[in-house]
Amino acid sequence: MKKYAKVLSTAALASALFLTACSNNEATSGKKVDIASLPDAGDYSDIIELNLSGSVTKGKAEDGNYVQKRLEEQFNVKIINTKVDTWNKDQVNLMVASGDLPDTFAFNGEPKTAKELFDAGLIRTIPKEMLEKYAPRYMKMLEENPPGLDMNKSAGSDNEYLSLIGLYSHVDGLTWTPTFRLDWLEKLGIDPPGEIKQVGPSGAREKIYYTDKAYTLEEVEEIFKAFTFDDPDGNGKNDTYAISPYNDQMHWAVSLMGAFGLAPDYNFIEDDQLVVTEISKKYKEYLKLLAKWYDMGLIDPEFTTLDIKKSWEKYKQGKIGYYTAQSSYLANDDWTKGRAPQNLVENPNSTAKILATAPEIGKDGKQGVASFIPVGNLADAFYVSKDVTDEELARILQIFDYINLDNDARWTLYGEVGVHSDWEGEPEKSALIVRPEYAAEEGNSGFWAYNFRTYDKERVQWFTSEYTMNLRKEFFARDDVKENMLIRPYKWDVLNKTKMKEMQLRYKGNLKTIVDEFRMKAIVGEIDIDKEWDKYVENWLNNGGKDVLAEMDKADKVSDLMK
Amino acid sequence: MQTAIERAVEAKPKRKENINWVRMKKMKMLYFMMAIPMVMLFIFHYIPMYGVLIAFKNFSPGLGIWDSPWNNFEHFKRLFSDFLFIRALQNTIVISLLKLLIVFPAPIIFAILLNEIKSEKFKKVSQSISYLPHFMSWVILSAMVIEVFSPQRGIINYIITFFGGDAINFMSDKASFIPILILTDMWKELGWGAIIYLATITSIDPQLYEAAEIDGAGRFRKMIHVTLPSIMPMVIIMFILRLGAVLNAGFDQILNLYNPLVYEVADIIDTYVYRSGLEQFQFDYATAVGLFKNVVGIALILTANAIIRRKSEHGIW
Amino acid sequence: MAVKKRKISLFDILNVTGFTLFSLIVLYPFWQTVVLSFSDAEAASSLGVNLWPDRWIPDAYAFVFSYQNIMIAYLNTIIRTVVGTVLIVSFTVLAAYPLSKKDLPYRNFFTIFFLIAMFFSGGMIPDYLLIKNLGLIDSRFALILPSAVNVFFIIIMRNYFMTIDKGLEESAIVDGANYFQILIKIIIPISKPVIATVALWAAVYHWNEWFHALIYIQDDALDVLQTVVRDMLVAMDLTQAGSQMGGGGMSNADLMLSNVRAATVIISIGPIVLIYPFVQKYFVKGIMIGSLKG
Repeated sequence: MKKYAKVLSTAALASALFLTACSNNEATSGKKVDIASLPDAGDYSDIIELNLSGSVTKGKAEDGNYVQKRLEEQFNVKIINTKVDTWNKDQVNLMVASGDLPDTFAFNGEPKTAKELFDAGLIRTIPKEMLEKYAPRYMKMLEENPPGLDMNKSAGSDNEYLSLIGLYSHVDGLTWTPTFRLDWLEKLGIDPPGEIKQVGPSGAREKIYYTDKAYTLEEVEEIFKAFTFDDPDGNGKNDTYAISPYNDQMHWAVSLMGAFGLAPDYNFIEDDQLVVTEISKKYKEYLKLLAKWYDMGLIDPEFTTLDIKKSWEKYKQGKIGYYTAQSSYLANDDWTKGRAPQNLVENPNSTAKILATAPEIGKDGKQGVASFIPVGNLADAFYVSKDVTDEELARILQIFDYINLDNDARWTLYGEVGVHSDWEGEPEKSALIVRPEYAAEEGNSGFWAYNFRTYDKERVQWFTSEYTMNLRKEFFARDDVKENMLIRPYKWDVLNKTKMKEMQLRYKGNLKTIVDEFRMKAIVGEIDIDKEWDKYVENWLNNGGKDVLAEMDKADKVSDLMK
Repeated sequence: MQTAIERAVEAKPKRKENINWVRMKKMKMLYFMMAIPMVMLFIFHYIPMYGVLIAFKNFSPGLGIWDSPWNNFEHFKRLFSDFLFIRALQNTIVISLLKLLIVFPAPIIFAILLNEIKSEKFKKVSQSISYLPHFMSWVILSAMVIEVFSPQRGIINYIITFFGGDAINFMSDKASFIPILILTDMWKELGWGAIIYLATITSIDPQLYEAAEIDGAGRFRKMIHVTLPSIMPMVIIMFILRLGAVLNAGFDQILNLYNPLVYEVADIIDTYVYRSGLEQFQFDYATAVGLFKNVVGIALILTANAIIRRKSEHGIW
Repeated sequence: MAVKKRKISLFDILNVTGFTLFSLIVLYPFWQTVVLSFSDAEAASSLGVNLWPDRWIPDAYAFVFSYQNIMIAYLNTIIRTVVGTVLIVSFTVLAAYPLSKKDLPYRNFFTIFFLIAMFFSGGMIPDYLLIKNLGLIDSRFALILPSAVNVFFIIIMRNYFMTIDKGLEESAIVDGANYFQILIKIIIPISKPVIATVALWAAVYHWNEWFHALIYIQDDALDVLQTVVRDMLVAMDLTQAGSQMGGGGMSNADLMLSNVRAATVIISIGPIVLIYPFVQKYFVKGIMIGSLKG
């Protein structure tokens, strides 16, 4: 109805525009919340209308879907589905720019910091007292995961949060590990570094092996030479390469970098000074090694034009000996189909075999992989719009606490097991698969439409196969592996004490351009690394790097934060 | 009534406004015709134009466009102090001018040559085929371009190595990347671009050709002295309008074809803005870049139009 | 006047050879896409040139057509293209004709009024607010009205009109016809080639346009083809991000990614490519006259 009234008022267009532009100017901060006057937890007597969106929504949730109906009934709310695709940058941009936000929202990636959103008048703060009263499970999760309670606080306040945070148990442990063509190793007479085990008995997993031992960098170099020059596929042609990277991401080298103690974008102490990986001396050494390998012909020269997908396709042709993999790749989970390296063995006729090892061991015994999250396992942000009242927030928090942190709320993601979804293998020990007649995400079922990306160990199980779980238990997330091989930054700001995040966001584009150009040119030998190095570092520092580094230096030591 | 107006026009009024007024009355129907498009344009283009203010402000969505604070041209200062932007600007101009020089005339020649084809069927078929690639997006085409120039599987390198040469990684080579950009752009848009000229050629009065023939003109002379001059006004308009877009050097194409090794020559304003994530949540800065591009565009159009007006009667106004 | 039969000259041979070669080069990517769309996943994931699929398999098409609302999207795109094109062509003619009159008082003012709109726009945010305030979010009008006046087209058409022989019009004025009658009876019939061109441009614009649909249309029932296509092409890229971001449920396995992409492309450009021969007759007929006489 409102819509048609507006159509009629086109004559008043200019003034309407003016009003929209001006009407969003009410500060929400500083008001003291009177907790006592708000309803008790569990008191849903007033019906409340909420405009909800989750953090993985594609805006495809149909009105009146299964999850919506159940939530409405349980919490006495009326849910209005936000038809915004949060994966679509343009839609999200407009939503933000026009101040037209749903009551709750989250972004994919972090386009702006919480502080910037707050300063822009888009979000409201969430009082700690309200969290204690309405989201006890969430508070407990924060307590168990330091420094959770101190993160995301509004500047100068001890009891106001700018956003809610997620627990990322699914990325616990090593994200990547190197793999080698096992059939090539066997043919060339090279022994695995340790005892090897099959990932699983069937489904191509029988052709994928793993070991918790590793090769040294020197051994890797010898293997690479053999992979390239000793005709490992036995076709009589010199057409193989050890490694075929890609130009758009760095995943192909995370474990190689780890052998130098490096992790992309993180920082550490070098010569008593805080440096960022990309301008450190160790990074220079690492680049020199790659340049040497390129010069020796071990690296596929075509990599400069390959993005990650083409690189997968190239690997699948069976001419490449080395690739990095995640645990779920090795377990050949459904969503990893088509990705290297397991795409090579997917085909039942394939005789190729793959061996995953622990990260390569560097000069002084260093080995490791960058941690997915710099500090701890908390990440992401769930925001509440500035227009949300305390009464509405109370209800929102209770829904949030239930659907994201109470595992009885599994139905918000998978419906009823046996009705909407089934266990892939052994109940409670394998992944849940939504039956094809229900939309696996949103649609008429509403699954995943309102939830936030926070997963405790039990939730992780719901979308992880038993083979992946086993790999994590045996190696990727084993306590000693996590202890020794996860590379974290030396200093990082998670308590919003500095402007580190703002600076990183502001200069990210330019710094990445500088780093990417130098890396590629260095590897293919277009420039002399020693000669150009100082100029490159200076360039990096002068284009925002200095500011980023200065803010990082003000931040807390990560080791202190995680105590 | 018509005659009354005619007479009034003839009646030599004393002042200019009078002539205009009488003519306007006579031509009022023409104004009515224009009225609807003008109103539409006003609503959908002029009203939102206040948005350019964002370029001069620190835009805060909570405050809205009007109330966000002015920032003393900070976005423009930042823009011109960024060496990557300056590099992108230079690349944009180089690539764009090369395209203007090489890609722009191609459809004209294509149209004139196609006009000389005698077989009706052949003409139809080759024209229909020629415009197909216009519909393929660069996301798809780029994969094929990269294949063709691949050092390992590409046909061109196959030929080079067949004759004993060393394979060249064309797509990562600064020297070959720009020619590839120009060639593939031409290949994609040639047939499509020729349509307007083909349409214009149809309007050429056949008597002109007959007259030329009587004068003993051969085919080439007819092409040069009849066909080309007849489509020249359209060529000039297309050229001027194309000049206005000189800071658009082909975002989709470059984004899908380039890699860090060729940034130095291939990074244009739009790809730079895209990579810097500027279009994402930095509306004010992105608007400033857009405004800069538009101002350059309109300045070029004005200049070109003025020059062309001086030499001939064609031009936009 | 007799049409002379002429010998085939060297120029003709070269010309025909040139166009044949060009056609082949241009046809190649198109053909490759067709082949890919009918190949199986195995073939699709092998790099290199494939001029004939090992087997013709319609699976990729079946997959695309099974996508929830592709048929609705098709219909919406057709509606949008037809209505939008009619509107653009009408407004273009209505604006171009007066502007083509050199003796129209204040003509420059009006020309500049149109030109400015071509070069300055307020950008995405005010556009969006305008559409929102007009109540056009989730309305087909949001896709048709903002682009209904295209200044570029107007200038091209105006220019064409200006080349038309003034004598034709003047005699009509003497006969007592008004400007509207002249436009309908004289100008439009002899301007068919340029009108056909603008119509083609407009139709292709509306067929391919996705950005407005993306930001102004949230109702699935009004989705257009290109947003669905983008969904399919881009969403598949996102599976990568999905895993890293921990979207546990996001597991649209990208099986046969390239085949599906190729099939999507063929499906999405098919109809618009097919209308060309209908428009083409307006060009070729004219050319025929020209070359016959030449």
